[in-house]
Amino acid sequence: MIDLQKVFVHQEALSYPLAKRILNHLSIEPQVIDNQEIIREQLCLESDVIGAGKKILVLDVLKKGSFIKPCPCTPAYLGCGYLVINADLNCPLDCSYCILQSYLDDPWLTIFVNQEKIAEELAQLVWRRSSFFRIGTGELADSLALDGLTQRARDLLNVFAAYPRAVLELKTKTTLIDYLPSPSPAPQAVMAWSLNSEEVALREEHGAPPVRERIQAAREAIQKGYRVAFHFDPLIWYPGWEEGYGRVIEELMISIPAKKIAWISLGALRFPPQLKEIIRQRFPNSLCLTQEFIRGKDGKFRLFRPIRLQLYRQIMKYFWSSSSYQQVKYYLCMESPEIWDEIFGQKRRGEKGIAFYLSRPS
Amino acid sequence: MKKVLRKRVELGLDDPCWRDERFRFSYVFEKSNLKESLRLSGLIYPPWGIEEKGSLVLVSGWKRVLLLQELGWSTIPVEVKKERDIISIWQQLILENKSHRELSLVDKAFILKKVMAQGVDQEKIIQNFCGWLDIPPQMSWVERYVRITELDKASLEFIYQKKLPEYIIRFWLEYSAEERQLLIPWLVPLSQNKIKEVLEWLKEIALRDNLTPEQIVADFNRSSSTEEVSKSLAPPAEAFRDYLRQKRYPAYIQALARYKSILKEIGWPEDIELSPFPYFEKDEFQVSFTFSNEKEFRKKVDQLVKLNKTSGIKKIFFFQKND
Repeated sequence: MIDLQKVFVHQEALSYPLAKRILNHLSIEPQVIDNQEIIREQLCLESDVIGAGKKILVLDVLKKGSFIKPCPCTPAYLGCGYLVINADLNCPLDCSYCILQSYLDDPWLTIFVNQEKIAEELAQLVWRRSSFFRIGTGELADSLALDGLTQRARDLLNVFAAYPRAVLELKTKTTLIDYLPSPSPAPQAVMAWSLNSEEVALREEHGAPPVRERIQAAREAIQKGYRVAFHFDPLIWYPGWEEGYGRVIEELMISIPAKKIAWISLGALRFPPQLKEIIRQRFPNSLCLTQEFIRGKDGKFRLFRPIRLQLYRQIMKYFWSSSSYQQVKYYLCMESPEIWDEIFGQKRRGEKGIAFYLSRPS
Repeated sequence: MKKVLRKRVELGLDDPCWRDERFRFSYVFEKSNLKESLRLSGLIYPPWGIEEKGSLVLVSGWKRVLLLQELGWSTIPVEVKKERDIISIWQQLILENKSHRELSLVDKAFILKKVMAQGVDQEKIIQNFCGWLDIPPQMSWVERYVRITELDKASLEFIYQKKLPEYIIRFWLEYSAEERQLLIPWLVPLSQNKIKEVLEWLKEIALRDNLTPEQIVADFNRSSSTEEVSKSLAPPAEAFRDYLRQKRYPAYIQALARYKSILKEIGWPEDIELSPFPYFEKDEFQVSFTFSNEKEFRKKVDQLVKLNKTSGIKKIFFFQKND
C-alpha cells in the first residue's frame, strides 16, 4: 500500500521520539531539509504531481496552529459537532474522489512528529468541555494507513485512556490493525471503516483493500475489544447500485453484531468543483464524472436531491430490515435539514442535537 | 550590455535553408493583414537566423518568409547572429515575439515541442520557458501543451480561431481524431463556454451510457428529425447542446419540466414570478412581482389570494415530504 521512494526530515523533527521510531522502520536513506522548496522543485518535473506526492514522506513539526480543530463540515448543511486531529496529512491510498487532492497545498505525506502537543491540546479541550465529544484523525489522512511506521494509533489510545468523555474515532479503509493494543486502553474509542459497494471500491478506491477484507478487519477489531463504526461515504450512483450496496450491507449485517456498532454514517458523493478537473485528468473513467450533480448551497457539486434521497432511502431500508440494526445510531454527513427530515422522519436536530445523539454512550 | 555580433546577407527564397524548421512555431496564423502589409510596405524588419555549417538556420521571421514566398519575392535580406547558446536563442525569439503580440496557445505548444526536441532538459524548461510562455511551471502542463502539437491541422485551426483556453483544450485532447473531425462543425458556431459544455457533457454521457460520441451524435440526428425538435428555432449547434444537456441531467430537467407544468396547470399568473431555490435544494420559494400603482398591486395580490384558496397550490411543493 505504501510505496515510499523518498523521505525528507525537517531538521527540527530529528530529535523527536516518533521521528526516531519512523526512521528505524525505513530502509530509505532520509534527506534532512530546512525547507520544503527542494521537494516542490522535484515534483514540478512529474507528470502526475499528486500521484508522485504519495511516494514522498516528510517528517515535520507542527509549529503554528493546533492539531485539534472543529471539523470544517461544509457551509449551509448540518454538521455533527465533530472534532478533528490533524496529526498526519494526506494518504497513500489513491481514491479518485478524495478531496485531499485539491484541499491540501502540498501533495506529499506529512507526519507531524511532535505528538506530545496533541496530548496537551486534548487536556485543555477536556477541561473546557463538560460533555462527551467525538474526535478523530481520519479527516486529512487515513487513521491507520501509516500506522505500520508510526504506531500513532496506540500512542493516541494511551493518551485518550485518561479522558473517557473524549470519544476517539480512528477511521480507515485499510486492514492495518496489528498495532492496535488489546484490550483498548481507551474503551470509549471507536475503530471505524469507510465502506462502499465492491464495484465502487474496485473502480474508485485505488490501493484500498476489498470491502470484504475491511469488514473482516472490523470483526477482528471487535475481537480485540473495540467498538466499531462504519461510514458509507461517498455513496455513488451507478447502474446496479441497489444490488451493489445491498450485498455489502448484507455482508456487514452477517459479520458485525449491531450492538458493537457505535454509529453508521451515510454521505452522498460531493466535492468542490475544482476537484472534478483533477479526477478527469487522473481517473478519466471514474464514476465521479458520470453523476448528475447540481451546485449545492455550499457551491460544491452534489447529487441532485431526488437521487440522494433514493440512495439514502434504499440503504436505510436495507439496515432497518434487521431488528438489531434498527437500534444502531445513524447520521447523514454534510446533509440538508430537508434530507434529514425525509430520511429519519424527524425535525431538524441541529448540530448540537446531532452531536449529542451520537456521542452519548449507548 | 551584451554585444550582439551580426551580419546581413541576401538569400534566395528558393534556398534549401528554409526547410530547416527547428525554430518555426507559427503553424496557424492569420495571414491576410501581414500579407497586405508586406505587399504595401515591403519587408521593414528583416528576419534573423544563425549560421550552422555554412548555411542559415532561420530563427525569427517565419511568417514573413512564407508570405513573401507566396507573394513571389525572389530574395530577402536576413540578419545572421553569432549566437550558439540554444536557450539564449529561444529566449530572444520568444521575448521578441511577445514584445509586439500575444503568443497563441498553439504557438506556445510548438515552442515547447521544438525546445524538447532540441534536447533542452526538463529542469531548464520548467525554470525558464514556462515563465517566458506564461504557463504554470509543471511538467504536466508542458506535456499537455506538447500534446496539442500532435493534433490535426483542422483542430489546430479550430483552437486558434476560437481562441480556446487551455482548460477547454484539455477536453478536446480526450477525443480521437475521428471524433474531433465529427464534432468541429457542431462546435464552430458556439461560444467558448458552450463548446466546453458540449465537450464535457458528451464525454460524460458516453462514459455513463457506454456509448461512443459518434453514437450520441447519430442519436441526436435521428431525434432531430422528429417534429418537436424540427420546430425548434435554435440553430442546429444550439439544439445539439440542448439535447446533450437533457441527456446529461435527466432528473433535473424532468423536475424542472414538472414544476413548469404545475404552474401552468394551477394557473399561476405569468406576471408574478415564482422562483424555487436553485435546483430545489432547499424548501424555499421566492415570489416577486412589480407594480406601478395601487390598482396593479391589488390586482396581483388578489390573484395570489385567489390561488391560495385552491387545493392545486399544494402541487408546487412536490419536492417536499407529504406529512
